[in-house]
Amino acid sequence: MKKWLITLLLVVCNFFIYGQNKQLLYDFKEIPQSLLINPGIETAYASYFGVPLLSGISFQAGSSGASVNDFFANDGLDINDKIRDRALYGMSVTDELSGTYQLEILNVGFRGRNNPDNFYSFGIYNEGDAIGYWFKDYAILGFEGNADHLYKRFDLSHLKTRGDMVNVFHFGLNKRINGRLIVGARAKLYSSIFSFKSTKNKGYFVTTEGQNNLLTSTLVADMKLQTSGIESLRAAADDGTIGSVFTKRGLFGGDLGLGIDLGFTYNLNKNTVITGSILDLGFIAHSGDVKNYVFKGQSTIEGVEVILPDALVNSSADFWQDLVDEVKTLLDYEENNDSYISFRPTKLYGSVRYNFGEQDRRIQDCDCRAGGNKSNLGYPNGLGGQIYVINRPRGPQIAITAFYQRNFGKVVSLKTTYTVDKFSATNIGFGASFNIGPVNIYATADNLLSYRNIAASNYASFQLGINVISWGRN
Amino acid sequence: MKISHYFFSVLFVLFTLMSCIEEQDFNQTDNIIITPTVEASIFYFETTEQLINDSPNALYTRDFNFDAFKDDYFSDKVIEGSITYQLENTTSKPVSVTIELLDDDGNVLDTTILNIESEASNTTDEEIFYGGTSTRSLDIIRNTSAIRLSAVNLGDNSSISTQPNPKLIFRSSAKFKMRIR
Repeated sequence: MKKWLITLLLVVCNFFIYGQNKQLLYDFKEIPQSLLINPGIETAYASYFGVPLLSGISFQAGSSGASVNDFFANDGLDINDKIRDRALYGMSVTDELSGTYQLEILNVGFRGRNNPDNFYSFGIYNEGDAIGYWFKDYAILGFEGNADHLYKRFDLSHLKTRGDMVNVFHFGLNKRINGRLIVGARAKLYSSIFSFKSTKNKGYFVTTEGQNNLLTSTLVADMKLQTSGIESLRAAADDGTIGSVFTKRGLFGGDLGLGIDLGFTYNLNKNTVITGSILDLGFIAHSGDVKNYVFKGQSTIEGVEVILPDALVNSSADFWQDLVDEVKTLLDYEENNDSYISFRPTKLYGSVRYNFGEQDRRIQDCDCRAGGNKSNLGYPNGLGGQIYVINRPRGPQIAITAFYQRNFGKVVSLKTTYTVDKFSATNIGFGASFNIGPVNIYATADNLLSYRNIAASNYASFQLGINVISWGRN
Repeated sequence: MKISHYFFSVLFVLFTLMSCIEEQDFNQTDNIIITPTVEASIFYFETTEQLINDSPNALYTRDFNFDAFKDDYFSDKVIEGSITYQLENTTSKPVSVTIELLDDDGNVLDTTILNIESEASNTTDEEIFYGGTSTRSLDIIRNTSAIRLSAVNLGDNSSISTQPNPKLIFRSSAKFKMRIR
């Protein structure tokens, strides 16, 4: 069992990082789900309806440090040496294991009947997101112990993690202001199913030469793990009612929060477009089924100390028990139910695109109904760059993407991306959207070069889904 | 148009055909060994020359409760290690210190004797190994629940040391390797 857990963990680690960078889906306006990444995108369709549970499935995971192959390649090396070289001392505290998934439950969009400049969309999706930074000093302490590490401060702040699962109920308005500018906003109501957060830990453990005795052990700790929903899920797992608890907490029975997405598209000229969006600017207030674990204090010990003549005062004293009691007093551990707030991992996207080739008049004409003939829709080629920033516990992470998109009429749209960030300089992605009558099918995946040996991949993601689209007058 | 067709076709075929995975051996998890070595001070004793001179008996002895080694987690995981003793003496008397590890019933499990001359310029150091290649069994450590410290004044009760603030000091630390996995 343990073996499988470790394997699973490492497999998950293998596919990590970037959190939610959907560089292929961003500004891929032939796919309705791109509205969820930029509510201010330029839309060509009159309405769409996502096939429930199949309209948007996405998964991303990665590790900025080691991969499965680094540990489990059948290379004849001792796995303990590999762990020591590639994890303990090969990874830094800024390396992270993170992942996210999103499952659309409902996604509907339609153009306003009376005001075709407005495009409305609403829906529900379930989302899970977790990140954990490499707890380097904890790992060294666990693998090697404190012996032979005199004066090394094992930094307790290396434990930094957060994660949650939420249902998101959203309603968005996409509005063409004029022939050049489209803006959009999406209001979100979060219903948290569970959450955990331990991101503000401080302190250290150090062993030094002693003042009286041979060694001094010092622990300074200010640590906190905040959780919500986990206790009720644990109880439900015992009772066999976990499904109903998931449903209840996901349908406003859990902790609630509010958020907003904002976005725009601006046509600089007939061929050049800039876009931008900020997503999940919001928070969740956790007050129900909260359980927090707090460990705080400072203690310096040199073992049992018996100093005469003072120790003669109480000849029956239990010096060992006195030491244990003193440490317990100095290092306070408590569990409480204090409510807390967690902020959503806010994302920022931006892009500049140059469209070229002969514009498809049918698609362009469609858009005349919704704002004039200055639309950038219908071009067969699009070339440009994108930027992505996500707010993470150790600060923002940035990814830069170059892309090329090719449309073959309304039937087929293909997009390829090349993304660079601190984790990879060889991330090539590919996405396709097919319209077969009213049915839209799309699939995207990236870091394709790593498919030469998936086990050695540090990152992978995919998005796929099926929609039914009405193109209106087209 | 043809170039785009060609480009995407090649891209698609390339990545589809190239998808593979090198051989992985997940059974390597069976070979993972986690054996940290931990160390800390365990016992400190200090007395003054004045107290030795004032003591009517040449022998001081006392049992001290010490449950650190009896902790289930430690005793289940420990595989080898050592205890280091150190004696420092700036008093005017030679001293012999005996350390005995005792079990719950007061039985002596192990004995270590440290001797030091008067006003010694060097400390007396002794490292006692348990488990591993040592002849001393780890069960001694696992069953230790108390430490008996006995100090014998091998000199007189009247001399005064030339050292400032003369003391007899006993120090000790433990260093043990544990098999977590």
